[in-house]
Amino acid sequence: MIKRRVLLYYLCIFLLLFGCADPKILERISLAVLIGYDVESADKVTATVALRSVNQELQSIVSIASQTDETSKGTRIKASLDSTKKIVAGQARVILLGSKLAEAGITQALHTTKMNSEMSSGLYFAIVDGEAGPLIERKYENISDIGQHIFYLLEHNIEEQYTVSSTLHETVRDSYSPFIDLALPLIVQDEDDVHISGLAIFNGDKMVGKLVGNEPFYVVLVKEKYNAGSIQVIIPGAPLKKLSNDIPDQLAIAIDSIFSNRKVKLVNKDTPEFELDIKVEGRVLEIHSSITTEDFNVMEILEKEVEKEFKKEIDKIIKKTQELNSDILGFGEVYKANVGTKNVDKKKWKELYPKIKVNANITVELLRNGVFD
Amino acid sequence: MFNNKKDKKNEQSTNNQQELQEPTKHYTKSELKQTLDTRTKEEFVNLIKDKVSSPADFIVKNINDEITIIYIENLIEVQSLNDNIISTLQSISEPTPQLIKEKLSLAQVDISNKLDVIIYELIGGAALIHTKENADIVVAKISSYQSRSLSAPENESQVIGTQVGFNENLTTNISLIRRFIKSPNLCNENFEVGEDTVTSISLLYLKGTASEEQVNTIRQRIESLDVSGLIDSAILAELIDDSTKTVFPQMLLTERPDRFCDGLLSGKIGIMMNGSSMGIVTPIAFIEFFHSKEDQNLRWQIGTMLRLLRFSAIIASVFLTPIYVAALTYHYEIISHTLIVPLSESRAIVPFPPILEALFLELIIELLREAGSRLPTKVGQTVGIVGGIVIGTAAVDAGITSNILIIFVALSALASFTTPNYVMANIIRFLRFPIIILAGIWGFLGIMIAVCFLLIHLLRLSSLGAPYLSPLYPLRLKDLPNSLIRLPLSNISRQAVNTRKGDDESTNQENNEKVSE
Repeated sequence: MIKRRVLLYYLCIFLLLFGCADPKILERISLAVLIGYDVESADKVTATVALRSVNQELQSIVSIASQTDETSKGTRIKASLDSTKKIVAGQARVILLGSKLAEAGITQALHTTKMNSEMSSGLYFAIVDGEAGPLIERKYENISDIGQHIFYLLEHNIEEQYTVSSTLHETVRDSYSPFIDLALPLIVQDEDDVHISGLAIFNGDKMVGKLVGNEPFYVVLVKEKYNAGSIQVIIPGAPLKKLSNDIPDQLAIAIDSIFSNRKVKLVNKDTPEFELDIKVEGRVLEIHSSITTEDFNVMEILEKEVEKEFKKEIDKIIKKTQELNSDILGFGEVYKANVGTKNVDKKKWKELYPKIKVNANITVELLRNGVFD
Repeated sequence: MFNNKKDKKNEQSTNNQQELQEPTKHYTKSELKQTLDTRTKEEFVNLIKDKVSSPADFIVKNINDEITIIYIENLIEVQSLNDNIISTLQSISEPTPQLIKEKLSLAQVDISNKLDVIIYELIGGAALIHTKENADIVVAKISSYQSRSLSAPENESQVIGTQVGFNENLTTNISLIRRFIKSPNLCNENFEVGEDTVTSISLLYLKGTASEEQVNTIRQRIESLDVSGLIDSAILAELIDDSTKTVFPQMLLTERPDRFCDGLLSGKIGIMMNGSSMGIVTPIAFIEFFHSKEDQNLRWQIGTMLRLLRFSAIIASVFLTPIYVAALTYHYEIISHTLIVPLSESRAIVPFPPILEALFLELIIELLREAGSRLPTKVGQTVGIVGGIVIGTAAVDAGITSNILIIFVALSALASFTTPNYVMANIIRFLRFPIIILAGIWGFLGIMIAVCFLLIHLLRLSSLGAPYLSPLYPLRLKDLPNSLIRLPLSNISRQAVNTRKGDDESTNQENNEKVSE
């Protein structure tokens, strides 16, 4: 009994001594919401941070700090000298990397972020087409909080599957895998606005190119499943000419509520050759008024044309990534799964990828159209 | 738990032939054990007067030369004394105790020559009739007992269900219970506890349903009680609890006869005490403190919803403020980005760290509650308004606390009131304070330490030897339909596993009987 009591005293003393945790009281810290990294010179990095803190007038204010040093922690220490409050990174939502830094390699930036236990694994990575610093520092007319703005911009587009998801978790996972390359959202500053322009694609940890316009849609189509995507494609009007003379040469058709399913199969290990089956179901939302969507035959023609367009685009993207040797679609993972890790490594796959052959079979089914039918 | 000294005393008290010790002013029950011998009227009166410390309301009434009546004025029914005793005695010419007993038209008349018996009957409200040269005394019980009439239970009120509560009279309470359970198996054992109070205690259980072992344990615990006085069943419950060092009660106090009888039917043991409007039900599991009889009276879907609401309210009540303190002091990372701006803005001019702010507000709420419950109802409401509205808004305006914390504290106070049992509701409120302090020192680590400590503590507790956390741990699948949720009655086994009779296969089979059958 006495022994137990003594043990209890020791436990109390132990807890009290080791316990003094470092408090970070919410209103007494500056929260870094958005962090941007750029290369300054050979081994120096510039960190630009959008900080959110609260002042005595009960207002939440956003300030920008920018410092250059060898390590990102070094920049933080330097920035701290300018700040009245302690700067913490745990509420960071987005990390932006300048394209110069991305072309030089993002391993260091990824590693720093991953090492920091404060950082949420749900924060987003994005590449800036240009420099991250000026994008953050600029005073925008309609954007009061650039950190929140970019976070919402990415979050909403990722949720709607307009672009690929690029959380810290997924980015680190993809960068560790030797058989898949990174694709990160590409953000561009356009006059007084910021928007997503497409995808930055990587070979290893270096950015090698970008996909713009409609292309991210097809990347998601091949890589993931759509739950409720939407796309506008332009198909030639020629096959439908016989129905009506009003039909233009180029026919725009908007499809939404896209559900897709994809299957990748390795059919030939030597070439290597892949069979890519994609099944798309969707709803015609908008089409030229002269087309009668009630007609079964018309819908069939439309489906055929959309399939052709999809296939064309997917082939184009695969060809482009092969030229850049950037396997963002993850064929390497399928190949590895089939031949085993012993028979393929990163170097060998990098040699193989430009040579792979992909037969894309796309089935498009337009289930409904609009509200009338 | 009970030391040997008391056992010795019990042995003594069973010995009837105990010699009278030196007469002192203070008598214990055992010292009064003696047999009367033939005495004259004066000798007898003086003896009794001495033994009951000659009170002012001690009345000696001589009917004639042969018959003397002794009683204590405030304890007897005068009407009965006049009509049934005095008039009868006046008509008896050759009085003997036997004759008087036959003649008296009263239900409760005894003849005794034991001094302790007659003394205790006298101070219990009986008239002692002494006849000339007779050692035997006639004891006519005509006590008047003032008790309030039955009323609706105030502390455990419910909308649907019986609207009657126990009162302070043991006889009334037992009759209430017997109205609910007309089974001949209902056992009622009587005990008298307390050197000075001589409180009647009734031990009630259903023979064949209640566990014999548990009945024996309770009986032994009550018998070995050595106290001078026992005023309320809450005291009794604490005295016969498994563990008195914990804040958690292991016996349920209820003022509802339906709740009490529900317990008896499921094999629990009930204890009623004279002078207390609370019955004790044991063994009881932790979860049952959060049950209300009303859950049973409503449809099972609604009952389940209410129970789940109550349990989530309890968890919120205990952990809401600590989580606020921990998150704002150490773990700003976990705060959602939509909440971070309003939270930091509301705290911007608060000069204290979150822990002091939270303790300050919690203390105000506790003060308000305590002040409200001690004051008369009308004033109590005023206190609520003054405290709630004036202090609440003024504190925020003055910048001492943040708006959001006021919401949290008020919410957790409100949530703690959902616990149907007052004793347990107090504990839920009390638990918050150490957890807030731990959260303020170590953040979530502190909260986890508190949770672990609490869980281990609850696991170690038992109620009459039955595990306190059952049916969650040890898992009693049979009792789960009536624990956190309440399934239809056909799924609820009549007897709780905790009160089963033993591990006998056949008895277990019996326990599986469903209510519907």
